[in-house]
Amino acid sequence: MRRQIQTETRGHRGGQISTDLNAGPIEAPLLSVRDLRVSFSSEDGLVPVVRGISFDVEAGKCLGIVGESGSGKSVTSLALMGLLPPGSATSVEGVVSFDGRDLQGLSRQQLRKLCGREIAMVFQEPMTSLNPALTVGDQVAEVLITHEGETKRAARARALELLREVRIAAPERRLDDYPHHLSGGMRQRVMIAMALACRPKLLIADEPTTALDVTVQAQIIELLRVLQGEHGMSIILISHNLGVISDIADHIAVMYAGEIVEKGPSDRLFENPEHPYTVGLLGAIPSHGRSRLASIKGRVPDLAALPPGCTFAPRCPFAEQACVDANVSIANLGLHHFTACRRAPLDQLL
Amino acid sequence: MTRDAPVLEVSNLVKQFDISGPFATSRQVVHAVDGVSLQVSRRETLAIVGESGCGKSTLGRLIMRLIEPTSGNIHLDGEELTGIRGRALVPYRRKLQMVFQDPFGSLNPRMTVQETLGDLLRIHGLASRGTMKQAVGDLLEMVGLPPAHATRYPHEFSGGQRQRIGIARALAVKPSVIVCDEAVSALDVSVQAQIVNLLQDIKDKLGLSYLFISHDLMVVRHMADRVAIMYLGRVVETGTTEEIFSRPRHPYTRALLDVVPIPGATTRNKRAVLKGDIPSPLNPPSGCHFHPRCAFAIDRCAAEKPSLERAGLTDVACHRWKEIPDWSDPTPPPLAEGSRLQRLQERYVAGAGASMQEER
Repeated sequence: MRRQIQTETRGHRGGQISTDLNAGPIEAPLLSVRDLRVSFSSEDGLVPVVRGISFDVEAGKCLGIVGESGSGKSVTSLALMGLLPPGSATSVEGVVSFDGRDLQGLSRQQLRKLCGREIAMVFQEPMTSLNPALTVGDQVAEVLITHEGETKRAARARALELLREVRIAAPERRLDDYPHHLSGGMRQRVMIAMALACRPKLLIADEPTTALDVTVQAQIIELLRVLQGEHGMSIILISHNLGVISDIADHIAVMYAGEIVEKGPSDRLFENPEHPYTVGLLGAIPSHGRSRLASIKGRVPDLAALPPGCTFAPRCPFAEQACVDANVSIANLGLHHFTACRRAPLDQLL
Repeated sequence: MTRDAPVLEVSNLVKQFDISGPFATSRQVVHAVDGVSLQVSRRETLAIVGESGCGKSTLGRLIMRLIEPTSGNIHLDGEELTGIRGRALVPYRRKLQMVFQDPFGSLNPRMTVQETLGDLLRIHGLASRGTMKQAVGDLLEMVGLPPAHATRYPHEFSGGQRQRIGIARALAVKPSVIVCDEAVSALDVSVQAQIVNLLQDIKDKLGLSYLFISHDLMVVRHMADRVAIMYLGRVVETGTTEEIFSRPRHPYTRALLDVVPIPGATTRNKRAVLKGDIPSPLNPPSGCHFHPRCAFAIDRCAAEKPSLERAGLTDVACHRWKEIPDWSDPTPPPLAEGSRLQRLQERYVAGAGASMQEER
């Protein structure tokens, strides 16, 4: 199935409007996601939350996924980890392959083994993700005992090493502390230590710094960057903060209403955004020397009642009739830069 | 009154919380606000910046008289507020209003917007039964909401709309100072931009002053005329926004500015990331509170508390501000005039303005 898609898309490359998303290097990416769709059933029927997104994460690189609340960025990460509640209330479709394996083909058990060992995740709220009744040392050790089958003693020694690795001061003393003894930044470091315990190839960090102060936020981002370099680990960093993303990401995907509307290398995206939503987002962030912020009028659409055509059209100052009339798919502009705007390149508007 | 007389003046304000429990053997006191003095002039925005635990929210609540200060004075329009209690405060509450971070938590879920705002107008005697509907409609109009929304309940609004209602509530009594406590922090960027623009429009229109409490330095740089940086209950540096952001003197101010995440194509490499966490306010370091994390600390810093002194155009509380090296601004320069992105954003704003007019 996966191979089929690849050969298909290769044929389209260079076309004006192509759904080709695989313009990366020849080397197979570590993670490749194709046409991922997630829907939740609600009173209003099936509500699409993630609507056919595709992206790659290359080995040793960081992909930043940016979007506002309700854009589907967190659901994307939960779907990748197989953490969405099972049952008929949720439907997940699409092809996800990791390190040459198709994740859909794996049983729940196999997936559980893979996630935690080769793919690890760090969440926003370190206090609610840590067990308040267990010491920090026991929690880090538990990962090693479960996944690597280490003895209790060896696991504790490794836990100490891991705490040192995430730069926790006086780790020997911290091993027997409970989570409530620690500050927010330190808790997040413990979460990262647990995620790193099995030397994962991919770390998914969902808003890892959102609840933290700026100086602590900078410490955590710095830590992620160092660890990425030391272990050659890939990172998916999910954040609503373009500033945080730009500090670490090699590639950025911008999500809006369950779709990726623009993606490309960080510098291209910041210098030459090709989707009006990205232009608006960049203008909405205060920077000095600007007297008025470019606010994006209106609000994110209700996913149960999406507007026709391009979902951003009702809020887009550049929209024309065609944007409302026909659906738009993401297209390649070259240089790994993709946009889902039919008016791109936006230079023609200037 | 001269034009420059501050509308709000706080001097030497102290708030200590006694947190020793009933069985404590020794007294435990948190120095949440430790001798803070500041002034807000008419039509001015003063931003209070700091990380969690620095006392900025306590300061806001003290000024609002929601909690009693341990010592110090608050003057509003030249009148001393700290001695006044209970009902006698009502006229001052009209002059001083607050917008909170969480607009949902600060609106009564069982009251429609009409009822919430109407009650307020009635209590302060600002509208009669006959003019109430019109008055509420006008308020909603001012914050960019359709007057027809008055019959709705808080849960029917989005976060940004709720914050607009929170602002309408503050404006209802025609205050001269509004304390905004992290008023835009919980909002998505695009909504945050709308509210920031709204706050600025209202200020220009009504000639208000803001005390803008925030941890977001980018928003502060955009909104404030003057800035005060707080660390563990004390103001460590204060001055005009321009001066603080381009020539910060205090090592802590510099550390904050060094790590503000700014979106941009070029990654800043000269980042000095502060080590450690903010110390516990229960047991703050001696002398200068910042000395254990400061790269320039000497013995004197641990022994002697620095007081704010004039340093060029800012006031700084640092023993060594004259000696420490110059600082280079790590923030990228503003978008070059005529660059593609700058022109695109101009077109974006122009287009958005035009279509907004159509909507009306």
